Amino acid sequence: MSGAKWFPTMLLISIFQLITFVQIIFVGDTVNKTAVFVFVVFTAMEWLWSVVSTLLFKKSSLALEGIAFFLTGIGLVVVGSTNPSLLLKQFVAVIIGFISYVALLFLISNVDRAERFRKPMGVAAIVLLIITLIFAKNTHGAYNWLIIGGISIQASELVKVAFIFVGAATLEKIQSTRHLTAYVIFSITCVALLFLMRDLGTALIFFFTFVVLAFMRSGDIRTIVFLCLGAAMLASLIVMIRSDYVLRRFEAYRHVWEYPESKGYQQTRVLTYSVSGGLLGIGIGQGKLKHVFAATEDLVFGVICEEWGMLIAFLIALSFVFIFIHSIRSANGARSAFYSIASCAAGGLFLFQSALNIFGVTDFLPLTGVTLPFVSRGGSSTISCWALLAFIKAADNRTWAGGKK
Amino acid sequence: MQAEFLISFGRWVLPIIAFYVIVGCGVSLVRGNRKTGTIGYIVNSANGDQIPLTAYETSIGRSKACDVVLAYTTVSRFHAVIAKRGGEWFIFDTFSKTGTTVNGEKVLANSRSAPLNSGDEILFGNATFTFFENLPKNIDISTVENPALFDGDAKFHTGEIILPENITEGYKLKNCISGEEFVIDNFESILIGSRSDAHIHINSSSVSRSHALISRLNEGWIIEDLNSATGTLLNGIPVTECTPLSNDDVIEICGFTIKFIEPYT
Repeated sequence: MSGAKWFPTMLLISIFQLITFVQIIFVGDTVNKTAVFVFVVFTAMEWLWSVVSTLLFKKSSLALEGIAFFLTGIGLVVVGSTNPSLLLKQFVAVIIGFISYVALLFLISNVDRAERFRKPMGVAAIVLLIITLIFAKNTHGAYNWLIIGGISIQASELVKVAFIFVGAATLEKIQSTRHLTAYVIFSITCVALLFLMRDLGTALIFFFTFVVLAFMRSGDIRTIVFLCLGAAMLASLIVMIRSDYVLRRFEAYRHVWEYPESKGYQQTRVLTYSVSGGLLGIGIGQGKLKHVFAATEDLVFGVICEEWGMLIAFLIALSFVFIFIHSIRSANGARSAFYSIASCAAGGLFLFQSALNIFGVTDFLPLTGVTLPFVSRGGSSTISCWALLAFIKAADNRTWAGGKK
Repeated sequence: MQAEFLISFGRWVLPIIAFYVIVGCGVSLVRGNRKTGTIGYIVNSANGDQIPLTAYETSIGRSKACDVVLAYTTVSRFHAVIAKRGGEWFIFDTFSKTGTTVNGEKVLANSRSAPLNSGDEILFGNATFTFFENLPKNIDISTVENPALFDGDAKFHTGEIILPENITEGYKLKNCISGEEFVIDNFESILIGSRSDAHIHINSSSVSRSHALISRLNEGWIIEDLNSATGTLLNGIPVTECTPLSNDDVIEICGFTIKFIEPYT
């Protein structure tokens, strides 16, 4: 999808988005002007980037951004159809996320420059988590929301970017012999703070990312097995200490039909309404799941199954597999170990997070309350997903093949 | 009515478009050619081994986790990294114990990196390599410190231990079975192994391809085992580190014996 090949794909994405946006623009006799604005600006943004990207990165593929734009578009329409008043807010997050993507891509285009940001980012990440832990109020069982000037921020989402950035910059070949211990301490601190914040899902994602980073560093399966065993023992200890909290989260797992009105409420509704959607869905905005709590966040996959159909839901899941395979393949030819490590960690994070979300709401895994990357509503999550995409883009040597090497 | 039509239309058309977009982008992501190919070489001055550099960053060391594994005792587990950045080549010493030098100048670990140019001689501990950005089909042996290693004169085939024929005065190695002798004065190091281009080639599957290395130091000669599968004995004692050689020392590799002879003794 390089060169002129991007045009038909972008055209198809725009047609797809036109058909879907039209369904939230014309609701009854009224015209949703916000949805019109979002559609026009979002489409302009997509095409502008396609042209600019083709000029900047001559041999680069636009497939990665294509998938991200596609998923983001679906997310915006789900928000517009479920809770139109939040559409503009979500779109602002998409714009900030996209700007973060471009900014981070240019920041890490020079590995030596990126290296200079390693320590400040690491310190900022820890400080942000500590501030959140101190000042955050209990929101749905977790202390992970920070409210600054009326804007709520989920710090752990933003720290994901710093976690991979610091990890890749520390564990890359030139640095790895020096700062390995420092990075292990940094990782343990982050995961411990997330546990204290009761953000179990994000703590799991961070641990998985750490395992990927450790594997990229050592290339040794045995190290990973020992690491996982250590983590399992640590987790058992935490479960014993904080049994009230953790066990409650796992109580309904595989028993959701025993608690259809309490602990298994969300999962049972997702399973029921997803089936009613069938292969083609019942139509955008026509579903019932949107009335369930966190429909556009944790349960968004269920909403898509019900309203958009299983086929599109399956394709969304497949897109994360494609991104993951791409991130691994790119690592082999990346210009630096920094890009290889960051790419695999980001690709693995997307796949792991999407698996936690999809299998969580369908009761294959415990419901951990994580978002579906690019699709779920949530400002911090959207910004973080777009920023993480920069790591995968930077690892693809075609990105830089047209210019400097 | 219009809304119903739109919804029905969308239900059928959207999955088709989604399929083309996701599968089209996915195939492009998965298929894309990202291989860098060989972008440089380092050539082992001891045996002429050409090691291709196929990544923008190549880690070098004794650890199996390194991209290029050098089984020399004087090489640290993670010794150095050769990197291509912005079209230029650099070498980074990753805090090795024995240090890295480029054309005799030490690369300081704290100074981050030293530039690397084609033909530069790199020393990892005691292991000498020459860096080439583009390796010519026929190596220009004048650029290599010890051209004798590349000219093919050092290959002979006599029985199971194949020694080069070069009987004059000087330090010698003697095939204990055939009695043939080989002068080693002209060499910085002698590779013993089953590989066909080893200086002392032993035709045996139990001998590692690069089994042991005899190297010259200012004060004499030393032998080291190159992490071989079956080990090396010196006068019946396993060689576990760089060990000095003395007159009449017997090197034993899988039952094959070679004698070290000092001149004028």
